[in-house]
Amino acid sequence: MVAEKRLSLSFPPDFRNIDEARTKLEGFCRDIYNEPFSESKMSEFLIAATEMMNNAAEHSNAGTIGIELRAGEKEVIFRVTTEGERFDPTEKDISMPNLDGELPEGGFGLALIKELTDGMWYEYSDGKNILTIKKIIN
Amino acid sequence: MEINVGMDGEVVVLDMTGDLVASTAEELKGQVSKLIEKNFNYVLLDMSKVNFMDSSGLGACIAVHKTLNESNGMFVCAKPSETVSKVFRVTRADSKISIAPTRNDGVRLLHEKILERRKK
Repeated sequence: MVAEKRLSLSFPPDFRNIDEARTKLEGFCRDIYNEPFSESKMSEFLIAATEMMNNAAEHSNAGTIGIELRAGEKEVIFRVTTEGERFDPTEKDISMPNLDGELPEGGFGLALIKELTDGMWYEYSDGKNILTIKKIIN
Repeated sequence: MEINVGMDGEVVVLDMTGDLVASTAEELKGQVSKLIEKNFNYVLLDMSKVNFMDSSGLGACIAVHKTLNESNGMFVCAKPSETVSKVFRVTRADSKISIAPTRNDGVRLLHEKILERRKK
């Protein structure tokens, strides 16, 4: 039985900070789960979390990215928060880019999040964009 | 991230250590641009020491693949980890970019391509 544990971080929107945050997220998960969720689910969660942070760094004009991980027995909930005007990344087409014809170099991020998680939702509250994912781990 | 450059016959081998992500993707593209300027068009990326790749890293691989194809060359990624393979697989980019199970397989594939093009 694992009681829910939380990790919260905030940092300026720089890709190197995202690398550091990813390392902390992985370390946090490995520390709290006696039976760490499978390497496969761990990598799927880390890919999705990285894409969410990248998305916030690239598309929001916020000075700070806030992240929160809530790790429970059966699932992890991960949330990325940025202040600013409403920006709902889930409004646009987030299907996997078509690779027939001209090969696209981008547009994979949100599709990867959708593909690798068990739920993604967006809310706008108190001037904050909040994107949340759920990943079932057990 | 660190990229060591070596040669195996006419094939350039990029030995990468670290993560291929948004903070490092441009470095790979820049390295390959320099190689193309020097007419090295057959490139193997040894990914055995790349632990993690995001969509920016994938985008860099696709960009390199396209640039080398346009230069009548070829790009092969060798021995990606399970995490890296997952990104290639889920996005179906592995249907476009050549992925070799080992570095030797990748080098062989590139040498075969060089010979095949010489015969034409």
